Amino acid sequence: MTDYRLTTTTPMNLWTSDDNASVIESFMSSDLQQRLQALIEGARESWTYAIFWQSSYDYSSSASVLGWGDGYYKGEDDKSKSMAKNKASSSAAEQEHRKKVLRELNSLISGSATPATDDAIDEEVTDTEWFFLVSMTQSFVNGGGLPGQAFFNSSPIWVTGADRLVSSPCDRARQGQVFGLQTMVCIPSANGVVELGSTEVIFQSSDLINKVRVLLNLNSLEMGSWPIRARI
Amino acid sequence: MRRNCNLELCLVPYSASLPSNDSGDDHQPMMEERRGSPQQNQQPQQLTIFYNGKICVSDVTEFQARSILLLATREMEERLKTPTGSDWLKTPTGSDLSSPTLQTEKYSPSTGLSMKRSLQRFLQKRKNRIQATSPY
Repeated sequence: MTDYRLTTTTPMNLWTSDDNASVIESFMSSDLQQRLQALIEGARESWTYAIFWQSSYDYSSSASVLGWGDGYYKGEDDKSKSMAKNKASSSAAEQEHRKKVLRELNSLISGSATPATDDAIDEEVTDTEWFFLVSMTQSFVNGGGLPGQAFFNSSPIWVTGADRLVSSPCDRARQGQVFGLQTMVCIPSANGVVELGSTEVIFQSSDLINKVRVLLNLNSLEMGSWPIRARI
Repeated sequence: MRRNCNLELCLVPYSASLPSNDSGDDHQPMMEERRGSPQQNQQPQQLTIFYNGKICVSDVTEFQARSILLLATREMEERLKTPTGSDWLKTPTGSDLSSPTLQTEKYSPSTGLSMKRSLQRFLQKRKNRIQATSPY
């Protein structure tokens, strides 16, 4: 695959052709994925996942929508995991349902039936893994939800503590708490929102917020100088 | 002595012969309402809900019971309408997850692509992690 580099010699027609949309998309996405990964793995605090909600406008319904853009799941460290296991969070029926879904997703993705001896499928699906998966199907319309609010107000939202999450007016925050999260953060950028979640209690830090902003703005600095006519 | 009236309210008009511990895809909530005399409609009554192999008993007023039915019916209708949608990720224990944001999702092609890519990465990474810890 041709390596498209964003330099000043990048021809304009690259960005105006719809045929190249998927190429641009995968370039942008691998870049975003790496940044999300770097953010999570390099952070001092223990974050469980990072999600980027992509902003778009739906002309048919005249609605501003935040939908799944990309995500990186890290999971809990071993100490948190063993504590969660003792809580006996999910029933056998629930685990069966989750494993079944995972099996189906696996065959959808790989295009073939999963072999019966696949260890990865027998492994228990943790609450936060499940929450991360379910997140892929979510969207926020016209400023709804925690991500929507952050985007709408152009200002970060930081929710610390299970009790704060439980009492949030936002479904997603309450949902996150049910699946073991104790901290949720939404940081908006020009074209979307970065959401971070953790099973630990993490207090607001402007350092992290700035890191995320730099991360996202780097992206738009490279892309922003070219008028993009293609609908990506 | 109170006259107990068992009222089975089935939400979906197909077969009611599902075993209560069926953990399959057809989540058919059935509700059983014990009422006293009609004048007691506004008093909280005991409500038993059978849903996907689980039983929940609580006290609700008739209004609350009808609201629950309405929400569940709407959710069932949504599921029937979008078989290829995200209902495979609707967890049985999370009936309160059927908020408007979850039900009215429509996926643009690029969102679908993003989802698929993220899913691929997630599953691959999970597989790697598990195989790394159990080399058998």
